[in-house]
Amino acid sequence: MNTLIPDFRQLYQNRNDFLRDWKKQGKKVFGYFCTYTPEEIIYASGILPFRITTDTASTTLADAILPNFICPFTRSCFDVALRGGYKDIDGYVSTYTCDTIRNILWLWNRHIPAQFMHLISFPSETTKKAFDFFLKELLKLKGKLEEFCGMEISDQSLSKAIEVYNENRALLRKVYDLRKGNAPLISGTEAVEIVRSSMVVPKEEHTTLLKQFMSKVKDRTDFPKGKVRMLVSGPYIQDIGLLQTIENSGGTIVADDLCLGSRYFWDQVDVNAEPLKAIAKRYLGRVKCPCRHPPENRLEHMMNMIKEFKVEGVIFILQKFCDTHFFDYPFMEEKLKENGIPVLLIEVAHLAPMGPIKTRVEAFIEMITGMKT
Amino acid sequence: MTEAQRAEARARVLAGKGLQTSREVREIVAQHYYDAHNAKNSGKPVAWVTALSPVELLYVMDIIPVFPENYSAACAAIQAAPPFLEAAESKGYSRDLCSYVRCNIGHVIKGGGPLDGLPKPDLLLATGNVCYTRVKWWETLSHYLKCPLFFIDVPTAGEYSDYAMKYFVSQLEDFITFLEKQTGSKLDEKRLKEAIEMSDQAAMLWNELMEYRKTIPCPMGMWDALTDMFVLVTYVGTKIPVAFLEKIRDEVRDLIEEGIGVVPNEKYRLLFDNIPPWFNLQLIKYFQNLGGSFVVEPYTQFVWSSRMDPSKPLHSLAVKYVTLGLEDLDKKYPHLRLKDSSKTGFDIRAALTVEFAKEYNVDGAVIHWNKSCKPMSIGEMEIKNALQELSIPVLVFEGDMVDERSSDEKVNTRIDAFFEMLEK
Repeated sequence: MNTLIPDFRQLYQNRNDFLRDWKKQGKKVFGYFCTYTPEEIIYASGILPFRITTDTASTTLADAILPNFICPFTRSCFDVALRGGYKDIDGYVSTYTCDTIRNILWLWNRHIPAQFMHLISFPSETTKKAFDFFLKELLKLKGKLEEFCGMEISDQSLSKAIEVYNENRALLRKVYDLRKGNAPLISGTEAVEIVRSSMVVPKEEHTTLLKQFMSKVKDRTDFPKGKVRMLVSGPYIQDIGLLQTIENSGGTIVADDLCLGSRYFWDQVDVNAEPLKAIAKRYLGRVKCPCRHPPENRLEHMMNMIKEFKVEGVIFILQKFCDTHFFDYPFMEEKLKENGIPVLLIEVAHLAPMGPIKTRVEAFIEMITGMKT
Repeated sequence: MTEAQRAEARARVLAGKGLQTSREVREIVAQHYYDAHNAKNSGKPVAWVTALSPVELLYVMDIIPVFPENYSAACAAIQAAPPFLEAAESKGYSRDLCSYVRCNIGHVIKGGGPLDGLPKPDLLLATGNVCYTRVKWWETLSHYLKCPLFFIDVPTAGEYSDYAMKYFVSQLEDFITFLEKQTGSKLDEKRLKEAIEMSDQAAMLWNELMEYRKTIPCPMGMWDALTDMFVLVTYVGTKIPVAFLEKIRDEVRDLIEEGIGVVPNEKYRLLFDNIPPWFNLQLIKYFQNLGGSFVVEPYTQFVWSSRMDPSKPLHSLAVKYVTLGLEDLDKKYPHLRLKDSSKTGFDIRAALTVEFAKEYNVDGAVIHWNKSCKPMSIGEMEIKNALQELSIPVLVFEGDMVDERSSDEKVNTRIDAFFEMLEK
């Protein structure tokens, strides 16, 4: 296992070094906050889309600006930025998905101004009219990018970007498939590390690594040996150690409904349609995050996964103050339980204390094991 | 008003009890809920509507709107919210979620409540112009209440493009078609024009009142503004707010003529930012007793002065409910360049808040760091800093609009310290 995964972990850990090298080559990089950002358009302009993430340092500077009831993800991202952690970023593109993300972008603009700052309006509906509106929003973004780069973003370059992104997404699907069988070939922690690393490097490079990984993984002998097959659901996961804790407590995470996981790459862009329209369709129609309406769509995604990956229990890892996830939670819990699926909720702050979480997960796993016998 | 009534009103104001006319709101509120129940019982369709939805249109289509946000605030004001909050929490709704929502979902789960509760809806209408929370809230309501849910999607991240306005208008058209099918009657264009006309009259009156509040001493307080706003939230587009606000205006004009302030011995003119703690409006009294008079609140300033053009009803509704009054604010304050493309929604709000502080001759500002309203609360520190740069002392207190458990127990001590700062 050790020879396979560290490539991806290192990729993520060394992301800032990579950025520095990238910039030395005279190339530009744009930060984005949310998986609803149509990266393909940014990529087509020759700019690297780079996911803004947190670190494990305690927040200090952000605390002087933000109220205490803001989700730890946003707080930590903002804190990293205030500490100068994103000084290599040339611009930012994001989507108004939740109120916190929108407002933080507005403050970001005042404290860490960049050459380019753009917030995309995202409709709640998926009607024809909503689509037309969203397409105009993407056209606006495209126009602003063209002005910024001083070049036209052709349909050809959009199609190329779609191809590159689709290839990476298709491979990630294959990585996820490795856990469908009775003996999962990789752990959930590894899977999420692979997805996470894809957000901070050019997709082609990631794709090359993925291909190497896929050719070697079949020979693996040290499978995860969890007793219970788990699905983990939630927003961004700050500390991957949380997933490890679950997997060290007797669970194997065989599937996920995470922002750093399946929700990021599950849906493809249609290559047979006009590129920008196809991109609009993909982002509007993709597996929904709780910050979109309605939750039934995400439930369906989860139920499909539960079936395909033979999931025996669902653990929600929710960030404190993440409104949209907490809105969905009672509905999701009820529906999953109606379908006979045990559910555990873990609410986490910025740095989660692992001890108590481990105890709760162990009890949950024991309960499920008990149900099986 | 007779001379005797006038004297009574003045005596009331002089005793520090607020405008006489504002007292009528209590009856209007009771009547509003009573009428809604009656309408429901007589078979008229009732809609649960987010505040700042195009209410004008509902009245024209004979749909009776009720406002869960208002109901939550009303419950808080008479200390009736806690059992509802607990009911929602026991169903798994996190205590960190917006307390308007928890109070309302608790009400749906538990039933009962003051004013006989909200009549069951035939329709749920949410307009996404203020926060995303309301989309999730109404979606949750639709799971419980099993009636049609209609969204008027307002996806604006602060830029009001032509196509965003068109998207809004075309959704209004869909909504009208939907209502026509539901009710079996066509939209009466003439009635719509009249409703827009009345909405415009109410906007002019509200603007006039807000202007009068610049007078020293201030003739209309925060309690009045918050209370009187109910009539706009619920009845805009009908005659009710016009008649009511005319009456308020007459009383306010009288006070100005006689140089009477709504706070006896107005010593400090104050700005209040964010949604107030409805369960503790006594707080206003506490300030008043120390000579503090709230003369302006951004919360009551946006939207309600938005002018309407009866010849372009749907466009007027878009201007009002998509930009939330920006169009008129931009005309009023051209030097702020509010519509510059470089300005974000927050920049606009901050610039206006600072402008209000100057215009209303504010001596101090009070910011409520309201746990339930993230859109308003993220950025309050920037506003605090901007005001302090003008040498305006600022008090920030943490709390919540409905959930008393989140309130700062030492708030009175902090207010005392704030007044010491003002005296310096």
